[in-house]
Amino acid sequence: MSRVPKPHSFLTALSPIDRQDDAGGARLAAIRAALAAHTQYGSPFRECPTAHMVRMQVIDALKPAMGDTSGVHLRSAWLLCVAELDGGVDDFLDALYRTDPDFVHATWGQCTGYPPYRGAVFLRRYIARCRMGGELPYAAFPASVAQVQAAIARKECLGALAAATQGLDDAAAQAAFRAARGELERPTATRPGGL
Amino acid sequence: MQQSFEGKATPMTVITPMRPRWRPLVWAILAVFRHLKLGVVKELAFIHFARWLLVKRGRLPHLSPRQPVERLDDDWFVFTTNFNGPWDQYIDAFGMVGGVRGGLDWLWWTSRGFPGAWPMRPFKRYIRYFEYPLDLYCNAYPGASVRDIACALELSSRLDAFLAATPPDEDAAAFARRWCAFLDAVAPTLGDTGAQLQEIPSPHSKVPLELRS
Amino acid sequence: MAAPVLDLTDIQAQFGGYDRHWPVGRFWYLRWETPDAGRALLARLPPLAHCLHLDDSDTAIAVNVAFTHRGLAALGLDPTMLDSFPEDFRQGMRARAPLNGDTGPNDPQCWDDAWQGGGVHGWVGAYARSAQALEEFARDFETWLSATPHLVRAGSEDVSRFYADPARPMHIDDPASNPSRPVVLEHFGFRDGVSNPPVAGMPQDGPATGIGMLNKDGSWSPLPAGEFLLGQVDADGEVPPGPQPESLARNGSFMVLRKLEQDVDGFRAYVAGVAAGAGIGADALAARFFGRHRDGTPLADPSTLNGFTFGDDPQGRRCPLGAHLRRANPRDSMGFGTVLVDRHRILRNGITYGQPVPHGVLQAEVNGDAGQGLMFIAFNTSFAGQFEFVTQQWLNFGNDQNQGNDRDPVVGVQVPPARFVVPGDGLRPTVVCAGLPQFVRLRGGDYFFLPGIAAVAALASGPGG
Repeated sequence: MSRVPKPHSFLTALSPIDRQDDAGGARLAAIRAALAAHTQYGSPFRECPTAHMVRMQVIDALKPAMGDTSGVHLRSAWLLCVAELDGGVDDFLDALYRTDPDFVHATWGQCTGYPPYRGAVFLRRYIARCRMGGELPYAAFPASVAQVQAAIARKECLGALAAATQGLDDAAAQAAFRAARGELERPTATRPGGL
Repeated sequence: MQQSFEGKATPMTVITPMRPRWRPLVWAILAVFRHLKLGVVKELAFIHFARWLLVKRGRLPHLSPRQPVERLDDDWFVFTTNFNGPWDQYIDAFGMVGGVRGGLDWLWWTSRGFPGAWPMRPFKRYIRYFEYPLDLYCNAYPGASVRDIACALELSSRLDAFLAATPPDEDAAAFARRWCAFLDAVAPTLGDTGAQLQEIPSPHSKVPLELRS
Repeated sequence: MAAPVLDLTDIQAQFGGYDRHWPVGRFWYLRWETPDAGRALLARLPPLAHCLHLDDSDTAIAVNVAFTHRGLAALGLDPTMLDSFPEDFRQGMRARAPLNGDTGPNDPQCWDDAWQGGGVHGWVGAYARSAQALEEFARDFETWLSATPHLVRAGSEDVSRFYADPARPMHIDDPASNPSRPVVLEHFGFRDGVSNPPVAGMPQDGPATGIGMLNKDGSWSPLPAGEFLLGQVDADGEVPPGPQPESLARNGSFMVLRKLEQDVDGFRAYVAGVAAGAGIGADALAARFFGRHRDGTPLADPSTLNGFTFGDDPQGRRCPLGAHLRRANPRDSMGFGTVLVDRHRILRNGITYGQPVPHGVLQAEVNGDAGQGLMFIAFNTSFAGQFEFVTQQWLNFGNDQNQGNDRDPVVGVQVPPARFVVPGDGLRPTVVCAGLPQFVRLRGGDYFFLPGIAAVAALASGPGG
């Protein structure tokens, strides 16, 4: 089995945030505020059906190597986005922009070089310029978000059914199975992040 | 201090500084690792996704003429992971399982000041020091661990076979016999994954006490 | 690794555990309102029992003492010393209740009176060779306590060991499941205290096979002393963080004390009900909860008491993955030998309280409301890494055992759907126990520091030792 299955793509994007272009790093503060305004479950990523795991973090200062007193520092802050996805990066970005364009403009839109236009195409182009390649990726399963969620829903359903049929006679066990069969075959779709 | 995120997967981002002269070696090491099966990591079954990435100091995106050019001494060696279980156990497993320890020694060997994946305390201190806090994290299946998913995927294919073999008009006794045999087969994978996040133990001292800032 | 030379005469006897010659005891939970009262107590105690003391047949009473962090503070210890203790101990078990699943019926607000209010500063545990010897000691000690100003007796607990006895069967539906030999039992009627980790440098009861550390060459070693004794080297080859100065830590250990009340009636009724529905024997099913038969014979390998592993039973067909024994010490279940387990072992030296409940008798008929259970006592050098880890990750969670969120069927804090799956073995069908009630309820306890005997003497001598 291939370690990194083809269906997954791995996005790593580093976007500069200019600290000098307006007083007091207002852009940086705005990005932090936009990120902080979203909880884990209220984030627009939750509505992106191809996103397994997504993280965003502002890298404001680099930690120097222990004993390094050179004083080298970052001139820009950097917005790091790391995402594990099904399918292509652009499909994910389109879904994200469709879900919450304001979030995109409040975050990457504040970064250096983001064009002053609305539209998913500009997000795609911008992320393409920020994307870092050449990674060594690892994925535990060659499964999509939908496959994982369906498998878990079926496991839950079967677990409950196994408990319910315990001690039933043959006909009653069969009836219980028949009642649950539809759910076992096609588990109710779960929203990303809902499990 | 990192915001805490609910769910069974914990994200971690570690960025270590690396002298640019090691680049050819790092490329070679990453190329070798790309062709390894990483079976040990699969067997440990607590990493959903992870990646290693070398960011060259001169290759940070330059997107505007007005953007100041970064003048850095070091490249960035970026490690991101999504793991199950407490931080301590995760790092313990890295250092304790021989195969992983050797792999990490190779991967981080070029990072400045890397003490080696053993002994444990300097290694943990090193990782902890170069960890960068997250601002936002999203996980499409926060209630499921790697082991939960492994069980669910295995069970799913067995369930497909059982459903396919179950005609609508089957005799009840025959069904019951097959049902019991099916339950026997899937019983080891039947643990409750649950939809309730409150069923998951609260994050346990993810960072060992003596390393907390 | 060569075993360290331990000074067994400086380690309190509770650490090594009491054998069958010491069947009864009493625990006192005390509070001192002034440092002098605390020191007066330490001066009043007889010479503390050490690990070799117990073999001395001239002594009829063995006394040990341990301190909570509040107790050490109330002794007037220097703040630098107080702050040098690890955070988990400084916070105490009550503050860390959410980590241990001590919520709902286990919530600290529901604990016994002894653990409410001002709290407990010190634990004094006395064991005796006979009930008479204990009474003599207790009478004098209690008299002295009540006459000593600023020394408060927050509570006390009588403890006693009991043994399998043909005259008092404890089975559910199979009389033959009762042990044929007089082994030590807990109140559900199962043999207790048989699989403690062997500690390097301590007297060994038997080979380390199965219960120690699995080496690369397939042999087994005792656990390094530093996993359980402060000031010694642990399994990482490092000295675990402990209090300063080093002389305060030496030969000391961190002790978990938990009073666990057992619902014997509820356990028997639930197991009997599920077993009847599934068409298997109740005692056979109960053995799956524990991972051992009543006489201690492991399901994994009936030919040995402890020399077994789980590597050849990855699906839990013989011993369920969720069984108590397999959760509390997964041995090689997780792969990679025992390296993922070695840092998470605890040394248990508990003792039962209350009278045993024979087959066919209800608890209330035995001793009314007093109840019965286990005074759980465990030693480790890191509460967070050992006791709390085992409780949180292995007993109240099932991920490492491939059991999802399922919890320990015996001691777990249950939340719906509260299931325990016993995979079929080809002869016995798969049994899914659902809606598990909580059979064990926490009635109180705390995190204690059990110092070495010289360190107790230093504490008794004055501030700063």
